[in-house]
Amino acid sequence: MSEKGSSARERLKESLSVSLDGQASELELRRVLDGISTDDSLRALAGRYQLIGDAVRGKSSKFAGVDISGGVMAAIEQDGAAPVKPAVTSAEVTDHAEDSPKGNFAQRLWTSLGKVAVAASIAAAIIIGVRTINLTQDVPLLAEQEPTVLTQPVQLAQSGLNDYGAASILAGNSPESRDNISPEQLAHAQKLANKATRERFRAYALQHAELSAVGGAQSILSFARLTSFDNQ
Amino acid sequence: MVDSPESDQQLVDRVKQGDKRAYDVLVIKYQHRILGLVGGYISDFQEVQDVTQEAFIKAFRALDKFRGDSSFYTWLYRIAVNTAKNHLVSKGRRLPESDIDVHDADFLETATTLRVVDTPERNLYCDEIEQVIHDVIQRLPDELRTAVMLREFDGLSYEEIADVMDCPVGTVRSRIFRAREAIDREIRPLLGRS
Repeated sequence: MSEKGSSARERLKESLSVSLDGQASELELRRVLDGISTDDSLRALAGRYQLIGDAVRGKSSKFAGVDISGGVMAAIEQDGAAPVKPAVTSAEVTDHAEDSPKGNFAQRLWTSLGKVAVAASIAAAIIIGVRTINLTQDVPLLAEQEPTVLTQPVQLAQSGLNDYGAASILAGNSPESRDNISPEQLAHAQKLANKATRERFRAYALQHAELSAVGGAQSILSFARLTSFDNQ
Repeated sequence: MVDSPESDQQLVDRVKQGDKRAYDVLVIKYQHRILGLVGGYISDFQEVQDVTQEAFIKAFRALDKFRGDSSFYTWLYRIAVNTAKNHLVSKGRRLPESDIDVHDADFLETATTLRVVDTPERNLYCDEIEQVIHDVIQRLPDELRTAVMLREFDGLSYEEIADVMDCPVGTVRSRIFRAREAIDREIRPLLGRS
């Protein structure tokens, strides 16, 4: 080997020494890795440097001279494994106590309890949500309302009520008209108003059923808002 | 080579970037210690090698989970212990009553019953290598011996050694290298006959 080659070799060995101590620069480390991958004598030297360190620290191994690194690297190459996406889960490297049947039962129990807790939370949130929306607006649910008693003149909405014939009647719309209403007319208007209310409720219920079929449980809230806003 | 968290971080980072050659260096560094650790659980020499190899492969695959909170060796040690225990379970053998502590792992070979490794010839051979290393260290010039002992025994960084020895970092790295080279010249013929 020429003097120049020998000098380069010495520098590479020094870089190896520094790299094993974790003190090399990026460039130096790359040069060492290039050397180790192509030069078996450099790999062997790395092993001996390590052996020296172990002996100095009083940690000499009975396995001195044994080298499994070739087998490990061959298996890794053959496997094509990359450290970025590990095939080993943390469960695979945990203690055996966690693999026992008792551990599995406890794990399953907690999982089941967790699912029940989540389901209960969702149900509670929906119920509280519906009640809160209605309570804050201080309006009772349509189904809970007392039957409407027309102690005051009532105006029937124009839209959608023409079928009942009395849609155009403005009962008590003005003081003059109020005086002209007979008890029979009032009772008839009351009857029509109740019927209209029931029809509207049915329509809402139908709409709610359709929304439930499409949107699942979430549409319950839609219905709650719908009734509430309608009452405002 | 001291197993402080930062000493292997360079190599670990390179492996994470996809450079498998850096993992080769990590295997070279720790294979004997892991072999010794696994030998504390398993007595068959061939099985010890197989399980150690498996532990290194598992560690490679799981390396992205290594956050560097502990040293690479401590992390690898845990994987090796679990791999050894898995092996014992798969073979229907009893697990040891207590785990081997990471700090005791390097000293447990004397307590094990390795059938193949723990032979008188093998022990003699290893003792001879260790004796030669210590003899050479004693014969080293002061500055080389101090540098290599501060590094290997006390685990100081190059900067810290430079402070202690009152010399540039470049001189420290050169002294440590020359000390290792001097020892290597003596042990190479011995290892060649293993």
